[in-house]
Amino acid sequence: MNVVENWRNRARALRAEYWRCDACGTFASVRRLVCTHCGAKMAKSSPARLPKTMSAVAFSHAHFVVETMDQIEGLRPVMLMRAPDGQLIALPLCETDAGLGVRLVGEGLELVLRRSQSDGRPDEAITYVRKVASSVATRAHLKRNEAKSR
Amino acid sequence: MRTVAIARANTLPPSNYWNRSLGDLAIEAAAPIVADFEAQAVFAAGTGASHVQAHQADFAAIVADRLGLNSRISLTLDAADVSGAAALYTAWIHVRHGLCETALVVAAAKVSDVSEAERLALMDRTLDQEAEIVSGLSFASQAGLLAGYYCSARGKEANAFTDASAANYAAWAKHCEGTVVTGADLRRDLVAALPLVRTDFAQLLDGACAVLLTVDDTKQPAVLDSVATAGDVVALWERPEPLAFRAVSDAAASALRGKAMPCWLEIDAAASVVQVLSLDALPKPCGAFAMNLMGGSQGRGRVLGASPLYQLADAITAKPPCTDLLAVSVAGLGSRAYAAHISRRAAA
Repeated sequence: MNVVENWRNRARALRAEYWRCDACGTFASVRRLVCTHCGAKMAKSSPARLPKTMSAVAFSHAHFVVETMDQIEGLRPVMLMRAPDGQLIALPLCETDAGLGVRLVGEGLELVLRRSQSDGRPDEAITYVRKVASSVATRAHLKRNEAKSR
Repeated sequence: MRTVAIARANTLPPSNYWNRSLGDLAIEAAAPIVADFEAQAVFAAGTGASHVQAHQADFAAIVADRLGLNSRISLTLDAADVSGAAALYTAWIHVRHGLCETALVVAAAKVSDVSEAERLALMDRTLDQEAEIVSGLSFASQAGLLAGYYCSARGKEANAFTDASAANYAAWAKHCEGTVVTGADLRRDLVAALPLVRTDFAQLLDGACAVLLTVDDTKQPAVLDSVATAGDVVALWERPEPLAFRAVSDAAASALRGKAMPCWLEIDAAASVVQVLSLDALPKPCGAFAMNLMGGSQGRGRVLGASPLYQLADAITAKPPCTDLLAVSVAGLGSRAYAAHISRRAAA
């Protein structure tokens, strides 16, 4: 990865900011001149922080299937989130929560900053991205339910 | 404006051509159709995943050079998995508006030099790199999210996707006398992006297809009535309604120009969920309709960028029950779509 590119992306990830339409409040991950939802001009819109907590709608992942051995590698969990105003936002899910998977759907997840799962060389800069993660309370609540179901 | 005809088409069956380069594949597909026909313009799209191809620009110039064509116009189109459709659209406009009399459209892909994981990563080129890739979202994971969201929003089961793949496999098996597999069989494949399994993603293979367009003289086997394109917000989750593939419905409406939906439909999509949503976005034909008669990308395998031309070749070479065809090619997760309306002459 290019160092300049890395710094630009890291700054964006650290701030957790998206561009926000002044007219309808829709978030956009990149700068656009026109809002994709209401069509209002966004040339003068300013960045705004994403909501700290959102509700999980769908879970998935993408991993590499090793053809000959029926193995998987590089599980990259992702979660579709619904912001308080109803907007859908897709974000990576923390690897530590990957095991909970679909059980997290319907739960409130928090926006956190984590290292990205880049396949870069050891001498490359470390990259960070925004991910969603379950809170300690949510994890405990799911564990309790699991114990009860047993 | 002139009527455009499809004079000839030639395809290499999608496969792993270990001993051929991207250029070899393109020449092999194009040589038979330009042997006794002068192509005044060349429109080409080449997808090569190897180190050599990554540094090659202007693939159309390479194709024109190796075919020995002294064409005034040679244009290279790169639109990821719909590159062939973009080349066809440009060629159709050139012939229709009298910029040339004959146009050769060539699309080829050489992906067997790389691993299966790297082949799947080629689909990431269809995404908005700044909005999606930088945020840690890949093509496959978003296809999985889209499928999950579709199931919860429409009250469907994930079987809907494998059933769509199975129908394509069945069409291909019928054509090549292969073994028919059911949706239940496919459902047992390895999970690639929950709830999608590996067979929900079209297998990427090597191949090439060449199509020659000419001004219609009523002797040609098929007429390319119209080619249209439409786009949507590239970043999937920033669309107002991610389940409504607006690009597909808009491109189809432009291509049909008020005519009824044909009874033969070809949909070229990278994943079964994209095919299912594209079908939902299209107007329904009056009666029964046949889809992907030769298996489409999901059945016989997908030649990245060239698959829209394979659909066109099907219209010429297959023995269809109807003469009217709409071929729809969908980029990535529905960010752009091309639609071609083809009328096949009864005598052909």
